[in-house]
Amino acid sequence: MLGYLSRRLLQGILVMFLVSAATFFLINLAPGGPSSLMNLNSTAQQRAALEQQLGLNRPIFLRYLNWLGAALQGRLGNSLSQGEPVAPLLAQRLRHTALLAGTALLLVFIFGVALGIWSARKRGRPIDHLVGLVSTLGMSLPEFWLGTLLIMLFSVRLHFLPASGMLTVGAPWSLSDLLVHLLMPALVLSFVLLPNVVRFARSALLEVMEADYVRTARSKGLRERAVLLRHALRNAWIPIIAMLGLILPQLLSGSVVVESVFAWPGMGRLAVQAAMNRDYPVIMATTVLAAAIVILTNILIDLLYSLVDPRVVHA
Amino acid sequence: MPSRSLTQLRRPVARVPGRPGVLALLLRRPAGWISLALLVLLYGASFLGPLLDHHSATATHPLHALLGPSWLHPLGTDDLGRDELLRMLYGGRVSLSVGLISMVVALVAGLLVGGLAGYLRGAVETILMRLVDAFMAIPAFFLILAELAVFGSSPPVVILVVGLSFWGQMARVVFAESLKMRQREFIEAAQALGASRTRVFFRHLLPQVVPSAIVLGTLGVGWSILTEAALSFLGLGIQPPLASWGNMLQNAQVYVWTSPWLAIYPGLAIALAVLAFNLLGNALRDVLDPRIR
Repeated sequence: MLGYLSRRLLQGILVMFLVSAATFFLINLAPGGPSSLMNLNSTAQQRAALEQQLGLNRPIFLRYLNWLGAALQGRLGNSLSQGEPVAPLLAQRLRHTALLAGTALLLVFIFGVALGIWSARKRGRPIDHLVGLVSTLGMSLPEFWLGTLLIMLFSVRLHFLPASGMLTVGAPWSLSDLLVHLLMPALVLSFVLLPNVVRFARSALLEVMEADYVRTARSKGLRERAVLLRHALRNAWIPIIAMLGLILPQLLSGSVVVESVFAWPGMGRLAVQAAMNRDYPVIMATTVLAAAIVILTNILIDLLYSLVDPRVVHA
Repeated sequence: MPSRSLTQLRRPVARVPGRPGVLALLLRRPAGWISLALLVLLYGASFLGPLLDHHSATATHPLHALLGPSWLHPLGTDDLGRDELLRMLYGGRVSLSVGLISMVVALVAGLLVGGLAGYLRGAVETILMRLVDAFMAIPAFFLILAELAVFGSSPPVVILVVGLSFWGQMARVVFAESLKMRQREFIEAAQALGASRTRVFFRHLLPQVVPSAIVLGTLGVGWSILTEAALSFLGLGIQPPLASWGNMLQNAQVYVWTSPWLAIYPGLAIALAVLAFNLLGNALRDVLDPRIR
């Protein structure tokens, strides 16, 4: 187990290293890279001074190692557009994204798994087809359009919910204010993921329901409810947990769009603004952090397997 | 060369006479003919529709700005007085082309990388597939944002960036398929007959892998239409005055309070196009690969 864990961690570190190096070289080698920040009217001296200040006159490998060394100590440089250090800014934005994405994930798990189970129990009946059809429709809806439509309905028409932001500007902090702002973005974000979760939960349960031990449980006269909850669902959890690793990148990508629609001050919105402003240290940091989250979660999920399913032995 | 003629002797037959082709099988399914009809309609309207109208999609008419739907302008006009319907047709050309071309990019990259890794194995597999792992670890949107920040947002860059964000997924599927195929007797037979590795790869292995890649690619077109739309909506994709469904929606955001119709139709068009490709992909999977359900 420990050997497995350390091997997985090592692999993760290696992939992280690859990701950060690739991103760094992409940003720095490209024609539009950091050196293009300079004003065309600036003198050669000014340009040299700026390159000196940003350390752009040194070889790229050295600069990458420099970045890596600083990043490992939690220093990610200064934002070019805002001048402040990237690390604290990113930490704050990450908390906001975690709140939004976590809420969406919770919603999608509750509704997705429930709908999937329901659909599997009614396999081949109209309700199963209906869930399938709605899933396909849901996969085709652009989340930013859905967000705009909801804003049009609930904010513009009905004045029910605030159209954007995380808190009412100027008002004292309150939980209800936060929740009211959270509701629409979290719903839209969870809607993006829902079709996948429903399909996955459905097929996971269907597979388990055909197993011998389910037939045994039924034939010894257990009620359907007990068969489902105590025998079938327990084993269906494994693929459902595995799916978490698969939808996480989707969740993070989705948060980029949803945060922008609802002006939610999270990491995704920060990444969009950084891309607009060509704020390279921020772009570098958000990209690597997003990858780190995905890699770490996948390692955690592998470990979770062995907790959920004692048969999984990591040698 | 005798070996050459022998390997050519049994070329895979595309269609057995008397057995219906892929298109015929597709048309038998509701999902198949509905999606194909939708696609013919969307592509036809976008590429042929504007030919019927001599108006320009970019010329502005400030006096006719933000008019509601009427007989003259069935979908109203936008903030610069341009006909919304005409712009949607021109936008369709861009959005539908970006979706299709970027998936061709992903298809070619995925087939080559996944196919070679699966066929050659060894060091090639390790290097290529770890590269795919690294790529796949970065959530697509963050990678795309970084790339657009560096290379700018011209249409070719958008196409390339969207396509290359899907190649990893494609490569994994192709890799898994090629691993299965390389064990099969027809590959062994071709090798035993003296066919070169290049020949076995391109003439025997790849054609067997293509159907699964096409299924994934069809679903992927829907995905890349959505992605391009989202990027353009964020202001980082297709740039105005060139219309795309995504940047039309971005423009409409400012006017949701006064001219809500601008925010409805382009989104509907995106949803229909993506739905059509998703349905077609599912129908194709049933036809080409009846094992998976």
